[in-house]
Amino acid sequence: MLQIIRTMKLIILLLTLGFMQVYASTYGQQVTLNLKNVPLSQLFREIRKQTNYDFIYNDNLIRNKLRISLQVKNKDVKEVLCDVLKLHQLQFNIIDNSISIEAIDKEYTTIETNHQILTQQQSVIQGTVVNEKNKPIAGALIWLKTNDKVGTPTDHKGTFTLTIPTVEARLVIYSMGYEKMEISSKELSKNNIIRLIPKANNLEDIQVMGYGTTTKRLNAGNITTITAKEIEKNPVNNVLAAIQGKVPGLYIQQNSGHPGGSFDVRLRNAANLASGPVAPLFIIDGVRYPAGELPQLTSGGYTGYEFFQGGNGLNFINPNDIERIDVLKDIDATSIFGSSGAYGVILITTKKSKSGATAFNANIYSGLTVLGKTAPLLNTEQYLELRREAIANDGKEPGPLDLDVNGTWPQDRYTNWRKELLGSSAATHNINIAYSGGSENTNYRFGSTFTDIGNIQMNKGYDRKGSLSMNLNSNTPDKKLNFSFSGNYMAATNTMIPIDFSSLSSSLVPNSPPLFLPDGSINWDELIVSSNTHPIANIHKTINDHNTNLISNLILNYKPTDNLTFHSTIAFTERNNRKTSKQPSTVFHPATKEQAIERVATLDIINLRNFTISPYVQYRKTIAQKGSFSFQLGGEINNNLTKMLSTSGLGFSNDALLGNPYIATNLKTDNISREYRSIGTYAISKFIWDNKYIANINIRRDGSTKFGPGRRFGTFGSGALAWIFSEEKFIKNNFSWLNYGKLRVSSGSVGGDAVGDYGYLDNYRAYTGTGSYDGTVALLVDALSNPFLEWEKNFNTEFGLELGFLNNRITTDISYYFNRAGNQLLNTSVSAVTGFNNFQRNTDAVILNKGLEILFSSSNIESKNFSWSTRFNISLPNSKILKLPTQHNNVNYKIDESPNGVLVYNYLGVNPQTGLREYKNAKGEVKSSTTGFTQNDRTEFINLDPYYFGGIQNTFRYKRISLDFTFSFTKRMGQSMIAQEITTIGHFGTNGSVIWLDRWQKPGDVTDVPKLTSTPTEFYMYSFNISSGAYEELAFAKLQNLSLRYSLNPDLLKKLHLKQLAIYFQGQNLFTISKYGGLDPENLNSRTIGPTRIFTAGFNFTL
Amino acid sequence: MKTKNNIYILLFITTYLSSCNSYLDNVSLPIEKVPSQVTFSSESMIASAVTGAILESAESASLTSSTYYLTGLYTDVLKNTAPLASILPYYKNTIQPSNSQFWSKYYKTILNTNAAIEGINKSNFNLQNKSQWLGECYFIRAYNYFLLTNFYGDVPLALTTDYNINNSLSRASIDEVYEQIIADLILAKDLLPDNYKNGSAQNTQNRYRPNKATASALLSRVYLYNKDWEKADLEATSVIENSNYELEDLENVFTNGNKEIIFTFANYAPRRAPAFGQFNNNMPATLSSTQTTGSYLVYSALSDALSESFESGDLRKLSWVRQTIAAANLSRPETIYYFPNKYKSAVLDNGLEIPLRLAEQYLIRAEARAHLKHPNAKDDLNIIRRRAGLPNIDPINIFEAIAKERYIELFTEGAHRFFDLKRTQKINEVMKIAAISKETVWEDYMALFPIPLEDIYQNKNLIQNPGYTQ
Repeated sequence: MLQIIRTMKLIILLLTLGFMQVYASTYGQQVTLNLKNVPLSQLFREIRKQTNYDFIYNDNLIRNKLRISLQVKNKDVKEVLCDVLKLHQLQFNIIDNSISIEAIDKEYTTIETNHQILTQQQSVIQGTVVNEKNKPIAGALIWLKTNDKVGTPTDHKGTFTLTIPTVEARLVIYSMGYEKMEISSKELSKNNIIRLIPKANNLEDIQVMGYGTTTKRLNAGNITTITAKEIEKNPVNNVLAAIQGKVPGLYIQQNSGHPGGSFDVRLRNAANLASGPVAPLFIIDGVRYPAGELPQLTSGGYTGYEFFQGGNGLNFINPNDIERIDVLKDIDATSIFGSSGAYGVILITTKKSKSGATAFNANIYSGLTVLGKTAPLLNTEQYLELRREAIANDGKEPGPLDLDVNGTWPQDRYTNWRKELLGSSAATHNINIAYSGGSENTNYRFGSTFTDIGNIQMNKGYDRKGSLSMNLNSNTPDKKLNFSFSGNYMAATNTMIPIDFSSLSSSLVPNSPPLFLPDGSINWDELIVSSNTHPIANIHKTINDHNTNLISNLILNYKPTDNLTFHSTIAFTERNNRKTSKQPSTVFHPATKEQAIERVATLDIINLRNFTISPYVQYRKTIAQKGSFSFQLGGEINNNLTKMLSTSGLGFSNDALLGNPYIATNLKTDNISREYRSIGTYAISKFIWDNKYIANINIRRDGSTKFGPGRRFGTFGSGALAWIFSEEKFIKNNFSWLNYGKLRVSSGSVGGDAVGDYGYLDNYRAYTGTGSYDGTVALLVDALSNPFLEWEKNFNTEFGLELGFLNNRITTDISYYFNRAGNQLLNTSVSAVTGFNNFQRNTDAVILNKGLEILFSSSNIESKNFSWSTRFNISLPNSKILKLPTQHNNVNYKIDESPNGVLVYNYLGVNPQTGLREYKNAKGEVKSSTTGFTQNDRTEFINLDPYYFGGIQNTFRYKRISLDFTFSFTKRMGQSMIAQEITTIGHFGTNGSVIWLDRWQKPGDVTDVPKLTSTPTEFYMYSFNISSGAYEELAFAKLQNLSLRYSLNPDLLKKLHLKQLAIYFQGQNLFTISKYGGLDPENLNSRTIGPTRIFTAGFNFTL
Repeated sequence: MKTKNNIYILLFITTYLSSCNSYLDNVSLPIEKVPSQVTFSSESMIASAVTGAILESAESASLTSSTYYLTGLYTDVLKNTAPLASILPYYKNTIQPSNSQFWSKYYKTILNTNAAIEGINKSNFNLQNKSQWLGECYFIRAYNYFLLTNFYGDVPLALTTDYNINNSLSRASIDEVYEQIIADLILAKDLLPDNYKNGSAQNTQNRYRPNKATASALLSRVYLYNKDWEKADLEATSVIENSNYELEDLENVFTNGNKEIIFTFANYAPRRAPAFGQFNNNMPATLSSTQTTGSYLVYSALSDALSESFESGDLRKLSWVRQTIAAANLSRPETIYYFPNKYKSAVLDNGLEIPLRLAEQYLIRAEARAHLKHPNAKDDLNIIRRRAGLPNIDPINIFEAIAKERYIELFTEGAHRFFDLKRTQKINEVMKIAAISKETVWEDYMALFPIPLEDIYQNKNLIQNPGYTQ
């Protein structure tokens, strides 16, 4: 893979090299070149013509090197050579008027002849050139500012020796991809390390597109890239937590703070009318990856849903194994994935081998996880005060069942249940090691990771993962054939009992009896048991959730001729989940535990398999010197298979026998399978003229088995145009401060098949219990089928403006998108009279998703010892329904409003005279209950989409210390804390948040918290929860990540025999600025643990 | 060079494209499902689809939404003895459209009967026992519509599987619904066999599937509810005179194999006599001062009104009621609870829920004959009394006597008390008194349950019952 990327990178880079340094230098010998697809020798001839340099080289050295295309204007000859030759693993040396070409690996001594004899005036300068990570830069060039004929490249260790004719001189240091640097020889003699700073702009950073690479400059689509450098700063369990707030348009919400919890991922409000957000397509190393919620079986004692909120497939990829993440947003960028990419594509590339010196790298950190932000709860004194007031408000006396106030429970007993149940801190450990190396034609990387995360809840258990990865990359010597294989295997075990105690800990009465007796058994006699058990009894359950995850791919690339490429990726992922859960009799109240039937053991086995083959052939041609044309024809065959086997045993004679469901008195098994196949064929042509004008056209035909025969195929297409206007003469002449400017537009249609499998098929299914009734198998209608399901039709358009100022130290990307979704596949709710609650269909509704995204980065201060850079992004999404579906009557849909919202009653607040909540109906009548209100009285619309979201990241570096912190921010509507209380506070058995202290007490009190009552009048707070009062606007900012890193002095490293060593501290989710009733505004859910706070310290070294 | 390239490309396209269509056609179908056309192509599969409809009906009759339990709390049959949030709205008569739970299960059963009827009628397969399967479907459909209309009043009449039609139905009047129920039952009576058959159409002792007499028994009840006294008398008589049925000893009425059963739902895992758990759950005869009935996960006992209604010497109070004494503590004096004890065990084939049994047929006939001024009306009533060890009576107001007998005989079975109070227009009178001891307020509109909100939203033609959130 890497080799292909590198090959493509080379070609594309060479095409664009000229743009970079046009204004960079005015000294030295300059050349102006316009070469297309020529051998290196041709370049040397051209340079010779324009300068007085001669070239000395061995023909064998350049014979097999790729041809180059180059366009530069008035550029320093040394920079041109440095850039071009470095890509060919070559370096050069200037001696007088001769330039000698050498292989970069060769160790050689410089200045053999003329400068060997030192005169009094002469001095020898030695030094090492390194990058920001203290890694040596080979082939960097050092020369005298006053005389550019005196110079030398660095060797593969980054060191150089230069003899200068004077005692002191100004030196210039240059290497491709880094800022040119000047330093005085005197300064250098104090500290012989020269650290080059990477170019502030990222215009030439490589971006991975579908099946290929490009640079940001020549890309007509919209792609945002996050690299390992960013990801590594986050000590997180799931990579989604690391990229949150960093990609414009990508909204990520963490639903549970438990390790293994789920995430909502939504790109550009990719909401179709279906109830939930549609997640983008995740591709890991070329294969579709099931990154969303984990498939669940409901047969067991618990489904895991409460705790993990569904879980997430990316929990099985160690974030430290990821090299880069490319988020493909517009239709041009995603066109290659066609309809599968209709909701955006996220490409994840794992770490791959790199040719170069053999190296061993280890990254080790440990830390602590603690509970994040939670809403403060009432203590005993406050709780009892409210309870007594509530009973008095009702004109009653404490009754026999009011155990908390009638004296049964001590009035001075107080337990902080939250601290008790989920207040512990859990240790986190992470180890990554990698060994890589190889030669020019074959290289390899082996890696291994280990992660251990503890549980902050009182029911312990751990989440442990270990992985092995390997990558091998090989070329034939003529570089015509490239082969690459990579595999990543992870085994993960989670033994945390999937019960979230958030709800229990915040609702338990503060003076309620202890949950456990001194001997550790459950205090059944005193607890209020609501069904046949108590939530705390769940700690007697056990679970072992074991997952193995394999990602593998094989890439073959064959270039029979210079302009023809055959490429094929064969990729395979497999995840096997084996979950054993045991429910012993101790989970149940002793009154029922005699019944053996209560003992349950389940064994669930889930296998997911994805297989993708994606071949293509590409033909490139240069037209009339200035134009470059490519045509690509390819396809993708995809096959996803899900198999689930659930075995559940009920009725064991003893808890010790729960290991094997087979011996249960009642055994139930269920075998489920699903297969999804899709196929796509595409043709893409790209045309680039004069490196200014870019035009792409894509046509694609997709087939999917989500639809019935006859409706499986759809044809879609798109086009894109880009204009790099900063290359135009009139811009160059008049706006010299503008280094880079590009306008781009893309537009086209794409299908969508985001519905369940087999929705077209009329099916029966056996009853999921024992399956039989009086000895006869019972078959039930499975669902309402719809044989007319067909492709969704989305029409997406995007405009983009990209600018770079002040030598690209400031860059800005502005994108505006405009997506019309039609023929939407919708699992519509239907009346239960139909026998089911929902029905899948294509609706005639039209939804418009539009939005503005801004990405801004700036290198604020750049100096030798100190630098400061900032990256900022903001997304302003906006969705609305343009046409309501005629066949549908969803209570919450409103024309010109977001499909992701609710229509609610108009809440007026608490009446200062009566203390009751009041609502206004459509006629303007004010009532204290919504009883008798109709749908028409739901006059208020609450948009649940984020209004805006984004992040700001600052990076500071002072000498070897770097500090990096990221804030993410969001503004949206959310269900308020008070609306999340299970019932109104005041009746027996439920504690609540301190918001209730502000309750209405006497006529004249102005407050938003109603009068207390000991009887739950508004049952389940029904009226209030569907009124505008239940929602509040929340704007919040989170210190998402803080990373402090110190790299050790090279002198010290030498003594330690290390190439590199850095020590760091990292913190995740450190604090939140929000007014949201004390609740974490991230998951907006008082009944689920919010994102936890993580503190880690670690070190990273290379041998 | 050019030609070479073109050949490569051409080769690539042809191999790739040729496999497209067949690749998608070969997708495997879900292993756990059976396409409908396969279901309706063999006798045993069709029997299974019909069995599914019966099982679905058993699910809706009991399990979590236990009609006998929740309607008992809703009326004056049961009282709440320990706090449990989920039953409060029923006990306090405050159910909201958001927690109205019978509706969707009844319609799910009805969809299964409709799908089976359509599938059987369309099937080309030469069915041996077509009339049994169809008869069972019509019976189950009628039984579910009977429950629906008694809970909700006017209800949509879904008689097809077409969601488009069903999703926009208006509510049919109670009369129209009964017309359909009667038509279905007459059809069922015609189609069903005389003997009890199992899912393989073999004779069986188990009364888990309807037969001809079952259809008659439900018809007699339907005619009674519709004040068609002659027909009610006629249908009840046909069952009473059928030698398959006899009144049993009180102890055995709710166990399998007795001749009083006209139709019962089988217990099957995981549905195991839920009524036992709800009222008994091995609670001992005494509770200590620290225990509540909730300690044994029992949250309701017979209401004072019902437990005081038993005449002295009524054997039903001995056999079908169980006493528990709870010791006094700070929050209660010494309390005697009377728990329903009809369902005595959780063992399979025990503690059956029986929608139709012979005793009810006697009471139906007594009531029908009383309306017809038949001189023997009281005889049927006395048959039931004598079985309970009570003397014969000749009451002045025979209707009151029958109503009281039904209250005592049929408590915690089906929704008899709730439906009886409604059809005799006694509901408001009785419930206004009962509401005092339940510490709640009864309003006239509560006689009908609310239609779930989701349905009101999804179907514009559905209008909520008065008194509830629209």
